[in-house]
Amino acid sequence: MNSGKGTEPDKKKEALRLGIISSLGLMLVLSTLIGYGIGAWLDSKLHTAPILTVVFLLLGIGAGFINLFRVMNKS
Amino acid sequence: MHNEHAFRILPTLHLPGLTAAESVVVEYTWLAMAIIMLVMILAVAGRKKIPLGLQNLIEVIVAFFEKNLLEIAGPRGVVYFPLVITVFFFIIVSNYMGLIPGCMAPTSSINTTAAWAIVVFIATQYAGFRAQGLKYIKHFLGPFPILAPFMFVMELISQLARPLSLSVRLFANLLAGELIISVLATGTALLLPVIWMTWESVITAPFQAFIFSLLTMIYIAGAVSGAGDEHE
Repeated sequence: MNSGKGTEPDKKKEALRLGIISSLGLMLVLSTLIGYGIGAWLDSKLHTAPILTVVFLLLGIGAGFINLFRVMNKS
Repeated sequence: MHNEHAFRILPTLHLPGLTAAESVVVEYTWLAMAIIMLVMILAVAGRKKIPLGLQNLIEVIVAFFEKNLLEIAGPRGVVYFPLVITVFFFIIVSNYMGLIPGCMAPTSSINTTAAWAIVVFIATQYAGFRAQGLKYIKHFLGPFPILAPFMFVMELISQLARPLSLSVRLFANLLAGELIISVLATGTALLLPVIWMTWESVITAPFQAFIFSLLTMIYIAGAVSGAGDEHE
């Protein structure tokens, strides 16, 4: 039981979906943070004040939501 | 690392360029590697056609993961099996190390888990290019050419966020486990730490290793399959 999830195909699908869905919330947050991180780093290198930070922050948020919709559409 | 006065079985070497806490994590990573290599050598030495004992146990685990990888990622994905099984064995051994007094789990540090996430990220991108050639980039560019630069960045961010979520999940679970053990062990009821450690060793340790490996398999499958996000 430790590393197995049953042998029927249904149980396997359920395990897969459980695995994917458990990541969703975290991925939303992480995408946002990564976006912000990239933006802030580029800003510090290119001295473009807050513009790039905002742009990449929005892109990060967008990436998170795109992922969310993709997973939702599959289910 | 979580408690300066804790008894530890490995001395704190101060590795060049690392803080003491980071050195400790690296040392226990080496210990995990040594344990895995030792176990594998023992399992393989004097191997028999009809496996018994340790050889049998390892074969069952290896066969389980290989079968799963083939199912999830197909024949083009199953070549990445060495990575997947290494991930699993390293993480499960590391998790159990956290339960041994005097040891720490290297996976309870974000450094270890993030390193694995980076490895998985590089491996998935490599798998994508290897399986689909340059067309793999097409999935990064979105439906309309106008959106291409934005879509590329967004795709890149989400490709990064996926392995990173694996690492955060693993490290958070392990760290929480260690903290709870250290709190419970400060002399409250004796039963509580025993109950918690049973839960940790039976459920959390193998399950977290399994989830990390499973999602690695899914990400590789997605990269290799050509539909971009077949499974996610």
